[in-house]
Amino acid sequence: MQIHVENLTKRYGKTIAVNDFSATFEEGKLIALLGPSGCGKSTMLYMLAGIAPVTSGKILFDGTDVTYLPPEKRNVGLVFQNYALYPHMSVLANICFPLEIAKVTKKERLERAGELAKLVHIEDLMDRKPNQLSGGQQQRVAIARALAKRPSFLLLDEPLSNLDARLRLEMREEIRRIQKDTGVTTIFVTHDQEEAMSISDSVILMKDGVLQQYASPQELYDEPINSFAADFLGNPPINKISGTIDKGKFIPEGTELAIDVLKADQSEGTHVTLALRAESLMVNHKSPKSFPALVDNLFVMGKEEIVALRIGDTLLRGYIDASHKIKIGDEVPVSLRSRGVFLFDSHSGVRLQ
Amino acid sequence: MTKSPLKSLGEALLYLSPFLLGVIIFSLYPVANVFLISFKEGYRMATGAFQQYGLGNYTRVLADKDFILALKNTGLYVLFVVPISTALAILFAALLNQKIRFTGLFQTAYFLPMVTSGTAVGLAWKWMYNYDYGIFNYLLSLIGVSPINFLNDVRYGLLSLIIFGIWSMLPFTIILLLAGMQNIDPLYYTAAKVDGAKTTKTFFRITVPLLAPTIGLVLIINMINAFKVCSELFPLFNGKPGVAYSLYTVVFYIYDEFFLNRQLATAGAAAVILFFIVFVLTMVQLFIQRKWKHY
Ligand SMILES: Nc1ncnc2c1ncn2[C@@H]1O[C@H](COP(=O)(O)OP(=O)(O)O)[C@@H](O)[C@H]1O
Ligand SMILES: [Mg+2]
Repeated sequence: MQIHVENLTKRYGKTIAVNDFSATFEEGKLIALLGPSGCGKSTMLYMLAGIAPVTSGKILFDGTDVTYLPPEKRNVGLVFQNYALYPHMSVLANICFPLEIAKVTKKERLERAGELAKLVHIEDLMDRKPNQLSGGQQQRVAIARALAKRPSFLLLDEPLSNLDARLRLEMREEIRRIQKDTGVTTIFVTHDQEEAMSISDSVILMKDGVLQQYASPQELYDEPINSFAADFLGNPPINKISGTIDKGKFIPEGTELAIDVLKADQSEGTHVTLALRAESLMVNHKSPKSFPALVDNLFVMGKEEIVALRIGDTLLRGYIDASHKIKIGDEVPVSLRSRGVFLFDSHSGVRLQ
Repeated sequence: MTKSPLKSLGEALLYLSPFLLGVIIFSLYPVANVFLISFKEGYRMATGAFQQYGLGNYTRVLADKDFILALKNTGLYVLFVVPISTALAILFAALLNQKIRFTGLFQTAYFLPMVTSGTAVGLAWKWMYNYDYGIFNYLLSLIGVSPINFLNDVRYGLLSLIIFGIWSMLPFTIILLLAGMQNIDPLYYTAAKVDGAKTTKTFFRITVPLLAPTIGLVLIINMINAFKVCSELFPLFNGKPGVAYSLYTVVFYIYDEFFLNRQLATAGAAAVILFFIVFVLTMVQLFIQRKWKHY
């Protein structure tokens, strides 16, 4: 099913949890709702599920207005952040509960539960109580319960945040697989950019209740719409240098350097932020546009070697070839690739280039 | 700095000593004494003299038809009052737990009996049960039932006592259950809502099972209290165990045996029998509840 929301707003007293949110969630896609904690992601899901009443705006499922429909009439599956499995019911009873409410016959219920157990790989756990399950197993049960009624779409609220690092990787593949197998339109909330980038078809980036950017993971990374988006995505975090524009060049704060990065004319004297992805720095690489930087530190992170460079008071991180011959304290030339280099207005965060 | 366990135990006992002393003097010693005296045959209260240790007091009590009547009345009282009042309390607690208007008003209404003197309440009930002017007979007359002599007819005495008993047990039970309900994570209700469950379904499938530990506790407390039924009789029946002594309860029997008949040893035997019954039933309940326990 396709979901369309229009100018959706939710207020809690003075707090605006979701602010004038409009978007379309395409059928059969896995969409990540990404943003820092408190930016209104859960509220958004709860409004879609019908648990949180909408303050203003519209929700349409396949063109039908469901804004004021109660949750049981919307046919959504919701997986809560801490799963909310009924502690007094077995795994089987938990999965069957929504079907029992829907007055499905016992035989069909058991059949459906069997199918779901197979889908999420919990066949051996059906008689256990939730407190006898690990976090990952509870997660699987919660997904099975949410899918029991063959919902038109599946909502997952931070499904991986309660799991340890290893399990998180495993479960995110699982969620992807389950979504592919069932083809159900899925919206999944996360504050972890890597999670969002790795499994979703598209990502909605939110901040303070406002939609910032809705794009594919790659596009979000390559073409951030503002400095918040550039900041939020990527690991290591994007490098940022504050400065001003003078005679068509970028002048980093507190330096005499003039870096030639502008692709188009920018108004002189504006305070801007140059944002550089680590992989966009070519360290110890001389070119007509290269600029000097001081090697501040060198360290090995996993299989890569990372160099910390100093320009004025700003530290930048870049990757460097393992066969390098530079030492801490050297001055090295740095060139920039054309990808992963952005210019933002320091004040508004709007992207200039 | 860590203290030796023995030393810290000593210190703890020192702090607890005023309380422990009170418990020993006013609780443990009398209980042990009652137990001992119940086995002393031919015991004389004035001198403390007795013939020998034996089961004589027990055989005497068990042969007393008043005691058998008391056992029967008490048993029936417990059998009706405990389940009915607990069930009603669950219902009221669930209603009180809703976010409705005037919650404060309702809560006051339900808890009022707890802060009112039992005798005053009893007298009010006596008035409500009144043959000529009571509200019950008035209500019955509205549906065309002829008046019932609630308090002075042997056939209705126990019923009147049971209704009053159910009512007096409610407030305390409701408080405990309400506390239990407020401990249930509201998330489960949200989940049930998403699963499509309506109020009744949610109540029976979510609230009641999650409340089971509290319900178990309440059942045991109420059962123990119901077995001790006695003071409820005083205001209703002018200090007598019902009309024509038909409503003896075990505690009333013990009371009469002691204060009226001055038979400390048989009163003690009756008390030990009551203790034994309550003890066994409590154990049975705990055992059943352990089987229920699901998480
Ligand atoms: N029930 C509520 N009552 C009041 N404020 C709320 C409630 N739920 C959420 N909020 C507020 O709305 C904002 C968004 O919350 P939420 O949607 O839970 O954020 P997220 O899931 O992105 O962490 C926060 O500022 C939060 O404090
Ligand atoms: Mg949240």
